[in-house]
Amino acid sequence: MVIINRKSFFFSIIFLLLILFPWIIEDSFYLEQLTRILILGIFAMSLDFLVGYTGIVSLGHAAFYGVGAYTLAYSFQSTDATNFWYALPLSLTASALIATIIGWLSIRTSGIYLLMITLAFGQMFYFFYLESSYFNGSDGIFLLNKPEILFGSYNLFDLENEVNLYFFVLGWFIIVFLLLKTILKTPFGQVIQGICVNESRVRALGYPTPRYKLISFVIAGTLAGLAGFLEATHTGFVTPSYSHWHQSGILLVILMLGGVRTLYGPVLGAATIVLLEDLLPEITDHWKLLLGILIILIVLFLPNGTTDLFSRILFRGPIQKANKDHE
Amino acid sequence: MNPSPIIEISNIHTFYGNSHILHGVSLTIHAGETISLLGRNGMGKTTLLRSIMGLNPPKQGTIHIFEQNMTHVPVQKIAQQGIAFVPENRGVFPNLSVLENLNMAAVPDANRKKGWNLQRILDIFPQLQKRLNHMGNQLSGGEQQMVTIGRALMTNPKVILLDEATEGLAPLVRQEIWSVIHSIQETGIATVLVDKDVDALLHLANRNVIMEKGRIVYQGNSKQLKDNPEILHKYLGI
Repeated sequence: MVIINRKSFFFSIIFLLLILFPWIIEDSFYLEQLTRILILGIFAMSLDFLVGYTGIVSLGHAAFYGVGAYTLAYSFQSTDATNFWYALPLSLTASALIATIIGWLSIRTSGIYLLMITLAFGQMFYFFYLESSYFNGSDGIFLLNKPEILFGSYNLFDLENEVNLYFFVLGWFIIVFLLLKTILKTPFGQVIQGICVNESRVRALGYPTPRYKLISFVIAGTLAGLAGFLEATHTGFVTPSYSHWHQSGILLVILMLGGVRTLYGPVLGAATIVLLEDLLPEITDHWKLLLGILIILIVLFLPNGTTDLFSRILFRGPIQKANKDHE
Repeated sequence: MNPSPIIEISNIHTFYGNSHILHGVSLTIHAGETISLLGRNGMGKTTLLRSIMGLNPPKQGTIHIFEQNMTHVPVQKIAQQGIAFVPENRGVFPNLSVLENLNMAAVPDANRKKGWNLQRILDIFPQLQKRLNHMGNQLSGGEQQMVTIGRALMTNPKVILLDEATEGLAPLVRQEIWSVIHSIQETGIATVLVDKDVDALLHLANRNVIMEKGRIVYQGNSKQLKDNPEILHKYLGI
């Protein structure tokens, strides 16, 4: 019980700090960085749902991130600002649809084959954007305006204002976190967590596991699409690199850094990467070498990621994690 | 005894990769029957259970469940027919709580009023009551076995296949598991038991099946087997 209280106390403090952040630190650079961390956090949580809780390791998760972003760019085809109420559902539907197709074709495989097939699909999208004149090839697409959240004809929440944009992203971050937490508590969530540990055992209980894996894949893909939508809104720029496999790869590194199967771990991982990418170039020009060494050290000494470090300090003990077992 | 068997296995041959494990096994399981599978290690007992369950489908031969050919259907379809499997290594989900482990197996049984539910499971395993919110990996071996058996019962099965149900458990816990298996038997669920405790099996089973090198070499009731200790000696070395 003590642990639960300490945990919820800790989360409340973090939550309060996130809300007060624009007033605590009035530097727009840091607000910008935090917005980036939160978006990357949503993206990473969606992959954690797939990798950590369902046991599907995907190297093509960036495909959906790109679909979410490009769909937003597409809905901007005219110079007028797009209506948020139209653009977001469109982005989410497109990502869900693509996730259904890729998922349906991929989940029948496992292990290295699953990695390869998802990698191939991700790269397919990357080259599709790169070669397509419709999507402006490698030049990408500039979004001249941010989506407008219209109530009637009144733009209630102007996303051009960076504090507004921050709260908009923070709102989505909290929604996604609570949504995934809730899903994991439902019978569906329990079944996918069972699949993650031992799929044939779940099938032996009478569950058609491919269906459950597909639904999980679609949920994760849709949320990755949401992250892509938010990132495109945030940066005002969409390029094929959204879907490059490097994006999916770095996301897996973020999961490892933060700690899989915790939801908040990947967010810590995202923060670690964003901050390191920001700090290290100030130390040396060869900062990527330093980043690589740091990642190796974290993986070696904190097998459950930086989450482990936090829970050791805050909750006086490593987090309880279940290991995958085999029949 | 019910004339039409629940499970009818005819002449199945099962392989692990290139290794030929079951050599033409035939066996029928009727409603309410308790069958013990005896034999030394590596004689194919577990493989037979896994073949029935669809986890290792046979390459030749057929398995009929309720007169339907289920030889090559997916595992979940076999489970949905009312076949439950309690695997050798205690298949408790370590990342779910005891309550979640049990609830995820709940299948409402419209055909039977006296279906198994959470309360009935807790009645036969009172020890689990106070462990409901513990995670699967925080349980003792005996408790894990109780959860696994409880979870199998929650699917309201017609047949339970129990592989080494009491392996590695303390004598008192073993006693408890055997008495629960006895009460499961009394509810009319057919059981197929694999275990090292031959005395307990002979006490519970209506029919004993001895396997050697992937073949069934003897079938008989417990009295016949007790009257012929040389058979036990020959095939089990006891």
